[in-house]
Amino acid sequence: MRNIIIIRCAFILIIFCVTVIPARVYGAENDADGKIRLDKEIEDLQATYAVWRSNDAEFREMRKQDQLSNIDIREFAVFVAGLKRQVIEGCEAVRKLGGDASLHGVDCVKLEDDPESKKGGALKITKRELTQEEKKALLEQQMGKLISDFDGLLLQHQEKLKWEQGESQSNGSRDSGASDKSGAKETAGAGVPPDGDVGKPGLKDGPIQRAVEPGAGPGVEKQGEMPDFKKENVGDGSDDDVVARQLREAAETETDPVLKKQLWEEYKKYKNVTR
Amino acid sequence: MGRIQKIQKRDTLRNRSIPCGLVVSLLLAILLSSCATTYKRVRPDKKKVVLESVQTEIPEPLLLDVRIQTFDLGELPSSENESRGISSEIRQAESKYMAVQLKHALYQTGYWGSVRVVPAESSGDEVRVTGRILKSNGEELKLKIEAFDAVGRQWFEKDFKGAVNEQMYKGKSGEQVEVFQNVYYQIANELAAYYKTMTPDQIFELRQVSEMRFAKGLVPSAFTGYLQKNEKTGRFIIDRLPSEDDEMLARVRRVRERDYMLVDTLDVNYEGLNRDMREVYTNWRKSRLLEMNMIREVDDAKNKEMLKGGLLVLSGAALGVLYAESEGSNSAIPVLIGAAVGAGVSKIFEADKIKKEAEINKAALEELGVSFAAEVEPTVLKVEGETIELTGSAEAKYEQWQEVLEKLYQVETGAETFTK
Repeated sequence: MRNIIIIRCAFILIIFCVTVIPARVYGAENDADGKIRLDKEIEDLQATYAVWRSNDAEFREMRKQDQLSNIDIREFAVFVAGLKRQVIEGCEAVRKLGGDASLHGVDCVKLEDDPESKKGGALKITKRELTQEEKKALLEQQMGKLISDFDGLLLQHQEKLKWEQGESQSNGSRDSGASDKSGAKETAGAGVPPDGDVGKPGLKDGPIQRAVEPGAGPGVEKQGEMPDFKKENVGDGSDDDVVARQLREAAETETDPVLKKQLWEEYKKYKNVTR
Repeated sequence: MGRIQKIQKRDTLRNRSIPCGLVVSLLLAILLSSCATTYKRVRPDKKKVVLESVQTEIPEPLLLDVRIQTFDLGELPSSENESRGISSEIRQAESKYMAVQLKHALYQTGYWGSVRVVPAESSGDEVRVTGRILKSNGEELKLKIEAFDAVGRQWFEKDFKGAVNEQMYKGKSGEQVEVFQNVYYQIANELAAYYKTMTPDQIFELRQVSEMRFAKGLVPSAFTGYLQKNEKTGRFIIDRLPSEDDEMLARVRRVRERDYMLVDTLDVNYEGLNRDMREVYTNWRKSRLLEMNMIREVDDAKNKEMLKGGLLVLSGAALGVLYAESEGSNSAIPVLIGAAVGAGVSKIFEADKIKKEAEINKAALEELGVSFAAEVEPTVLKVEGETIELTGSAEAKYEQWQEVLEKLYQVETGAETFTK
């Protein structure tokens, strides 16, 4: 009986030696690996973040000064949007490794578990208190967006009017040439063009061409062909993970139309990859 | 004895002449009332008003923007004849058409910056012109016009009128023209006359007041204290001005630029309506005047017959008196009385027939109004609908701008409680 007990104890000891001790040693090695990986991620993130910041600032400055051609703008926007995506992914990688990128000078969005959304497994993005400058910038952005929306509305209406006028003129030329003739005669004598545009060249008057293109943010005037990105192509974002949500938010708040389009492209790419 | 007989005879005659006088008076009253005209003749303007234009171009900073509010419809005529074929639908169209015509006249003077037709009053207008249609029937146009500026000065409030005839609807080459150009030119000249009394300083001040009023309307907290309103005179005075590099002022200017754009877009709508209805409106006015003239001709013919008939009956009555005086000595008189009264009654019947012809013209006049209103109403409603839609969206946006700008002001001045 005693032998049996001794044999059992020896067996347990052997099993302990075979399983627990190596596992502990392996865990310690893993921790060291994790630390190395975290440091590496933070280092990469810092580098990407610095590159993104400088390029983003440069892009905006060039847009203000209207220094680039349409092709250059687009290429630059692709580059900046790609960097932004890398920053967001880097932040998420650091967070997953248990790190805090904000301690290393990177302005990542902090995440915390939201009891409300815990059931669905979603994470709530908690925003830190904004500085005065940030609040101002945010309000300026809102203002820019409201103005762009309004410009879009007017432009839409003006296009409609142009189309209707074209229609009525073509109908008029088909149906009653006499009316056009009479109008022309009347206004020619009076110094008023027959189409009713009585704006005086060289004077203060500036008729409807004042419109700024829709989607243009503050300080962004007409800059060639505008992106035709449609938001309906990107879904409602209900199945977004943390990175996708941050990309989406970045695209939504972006006021530069070209960069906005590229950020949406990055969002779509990311969604396709993760799907 | 002979004397007594004479007196008796005179009394007899007097007694007979009382019913005779009554008959004559009655006949005259009937004649006069029957001779009334449906439309009084109007003398057309003989003189052509010359438009007062600038001799040398006015520098841009001295040009004032003018906004003409679509005219008030005024009251429709109360008399049946005057209101025939005129409706509020037609007045709706006219209220916009006339505002655009006035705009064209103002542009031709060269005294003004942008001149736009707008649906309603808004803050920050430099010069505003309002009008009320007092009379418009194709032959006469009478408008009450008021002009005032951002400072609160009333430039004038005056009635302007003009009258035309059929020939004036045709230009020299037979093309259609704006026949009431005289009226619009008079108004344009009146505005120019007031403008010329203003000094450059007054004009600059007016423009600054206009900008400050717009700014105060948009961001009240940021622009309080710049303007003062004299409650007695109702005029605005500038107390101080923000610096040219004031960030909030720059934002306000951006918004104001949108206000200009909105007004430009609305103006294009009104221009379109003016262009679309020009021909049909001119035709309606012309046809209306033609019908009115036809009614006048019929009235004249009727009155002529009525007069003839009345005179014949009167002469019959006179013969009757004569016959009575001669105590039946002249046997030819009764025959003459019969002939005169018969012819007179026949003429009166003839006049009545002619009167019935005029009813056809009156119905045509009514019909003209109905068909013109039906033709122009959809276009007017469309323009009104678009105006409401656009101004509604703009008002909603304006409120959002106000909100954001107020927050920005609070953030900038440190008075904010804003958290996103």
